[in-house]
Amino acid sequence: MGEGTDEGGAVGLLSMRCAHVLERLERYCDQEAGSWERVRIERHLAVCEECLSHKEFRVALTRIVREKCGRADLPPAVAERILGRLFPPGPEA
Amino acid sequence: MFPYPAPLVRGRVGRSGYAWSVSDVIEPQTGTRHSPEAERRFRDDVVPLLPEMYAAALRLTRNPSDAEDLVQETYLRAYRGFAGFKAGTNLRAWMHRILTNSFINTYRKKQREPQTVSDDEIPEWYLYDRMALGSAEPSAETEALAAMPDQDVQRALESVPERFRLAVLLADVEGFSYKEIAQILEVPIGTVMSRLHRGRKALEKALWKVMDGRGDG
Repeated sequence: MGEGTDEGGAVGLLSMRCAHVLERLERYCDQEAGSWERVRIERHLAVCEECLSHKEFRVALTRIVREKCGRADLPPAVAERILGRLFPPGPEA
Repeated sequence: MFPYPAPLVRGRVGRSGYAWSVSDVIEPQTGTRHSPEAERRFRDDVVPLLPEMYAAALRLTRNPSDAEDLVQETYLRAYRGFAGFKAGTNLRAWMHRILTNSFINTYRKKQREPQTVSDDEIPEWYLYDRMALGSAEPSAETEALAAMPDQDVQRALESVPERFRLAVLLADVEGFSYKEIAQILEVPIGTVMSRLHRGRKALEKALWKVMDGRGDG
């Protein structure tokens, strides 16, 4: 909405074109975008469903890597062996 | 949270003695002595990272016995080099750097896997575009991703060549920043970004192969 109005113009100035946003989304989702870049991307995402959907997809991709590849329990016996070799019993043991 | 206060382990393992013959790859710690203060810091700060380091090692080596050896080597190196660690700086990154170096030095020689991805033909948004074709709802893609079995995602990630997989793991699983990853891998930040990008694209392609092959994508 507001195309051609002052409001639309302000969004246009602060925002970016889709191609630019899509190029920068990886950095943005990695929390590596600069603060000004971040503001401009967020202004765009607020009004562009297509780019927002791309952003959500990228976030979901990172989340499944973390959640589905991140779990691994340390067996107590392994911890004991590792620490046991690291701190061998001294002469007092 | 961490149920192994060092003195307890020390006594236990010392008595049972079983621990000493498990790995002949790793030499027992020899002769390094730190000040009591440094020793205490190592036990307070480095030892509690053990579960995290083991999980990371398991992701890198893909099998429990290699993971144990890798963590053992990492901790021995960390202990010996602990004097060189500046207190107050990034301990997690320091530990992951040792782990990654140990992994590369030891296991890259063992493995003969291709170190490049031929990703020139993988377009941007490869997976998104393919998944979006078959779905009506805008959120359907992210839901389909979330519904993927763990093993499928793990296998897809494992198919990504090592140097790219390392970058993806450090960013997405360990949560390190580009700058921290650059320090861990000892490469420029631009290289980190490029490896991450190419690693993720390779992952997308591998994920799609799983989904498409299954026929319910």
